[in-house]
Amino acid sequence: MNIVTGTPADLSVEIMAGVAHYRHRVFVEKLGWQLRCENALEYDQFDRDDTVYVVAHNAEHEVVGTARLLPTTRPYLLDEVFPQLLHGMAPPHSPDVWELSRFAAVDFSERGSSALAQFSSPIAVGLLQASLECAARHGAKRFITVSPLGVERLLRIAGFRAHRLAPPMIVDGNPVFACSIGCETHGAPTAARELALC
Amino acid sequence: MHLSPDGLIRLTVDQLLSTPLEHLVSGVDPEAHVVPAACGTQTSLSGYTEWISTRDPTISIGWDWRLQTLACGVRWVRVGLPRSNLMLTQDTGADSSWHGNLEILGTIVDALAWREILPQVVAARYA
Repeated sequence: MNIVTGTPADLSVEIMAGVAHYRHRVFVEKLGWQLRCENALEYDQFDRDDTVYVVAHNAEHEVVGTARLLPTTRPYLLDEVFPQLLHGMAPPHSPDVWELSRFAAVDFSERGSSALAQFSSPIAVGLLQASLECAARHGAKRFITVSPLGVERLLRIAGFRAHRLAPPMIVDGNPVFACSIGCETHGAPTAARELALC
Repeated sequence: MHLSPDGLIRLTVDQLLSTPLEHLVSGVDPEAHVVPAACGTQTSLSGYTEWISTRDPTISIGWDWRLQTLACGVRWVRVGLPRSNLMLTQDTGADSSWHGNLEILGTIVDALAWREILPQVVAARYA
């Protein structure tokens, strides 16, 4: 697995198009999220010139994982779309805190796996570690995310230090919550698991 | 009890013990399956349960559970340590270790009446 990071200016047009297409396959086609898309490409108002991307490719140069990093000093998903998940707590606006979103690690070249089983973890854990290291290089000390509740369980099993910021809420029939993940160095992952963050 | 910039609520064990917690939501894992857990036991169902305080800032504690099938009946068992937005502090005001914090929370949630609620949750799931 090869991982590249950077803003759109740092990455090629082909990589950025691959990210948008991959996100459409994962979040719209597989998970059924109701997201505005054009031409099977998924992107939104948080995909900006200053957005940092982490992209994993397999040996065939196919996208097998993506993550989107946003500084909380500018508009971000939790603050703008899901502030209710903080239960009245002020959303962070700090160079120390970055948001992790559109995290997915599905290798579509793997045969015989279900959509959920394909959130497999050598990719997911490697991608998350790369995202944490990338954010740390930008000054982050912790991530915040909007996540399905099960992700908290999987982060712990995979060896990441994470905690909820407030109680979970039911959104579209599923429990989701605001999560905080420390950017400190982590040890080797302990298990293969699924991860998908909003 | 206070909410810290890192999003954790810091309080002492005594403060937590004096804070009523109520059931928020519970669920059954989508892929419940039978897995031998130990000699003479079987696991047939698993899931999660979430509890909150009714005061601000809102305390949130959740944990996983498993239904063990035994020869003499069934038993609801907490699996692993709780997940929470709490950090228990010592008398000095210093934080507990993260693992120690969760260990104490585990003993506290074991005293809650979650085993009385889960049969209703499971019954609703399979009704």
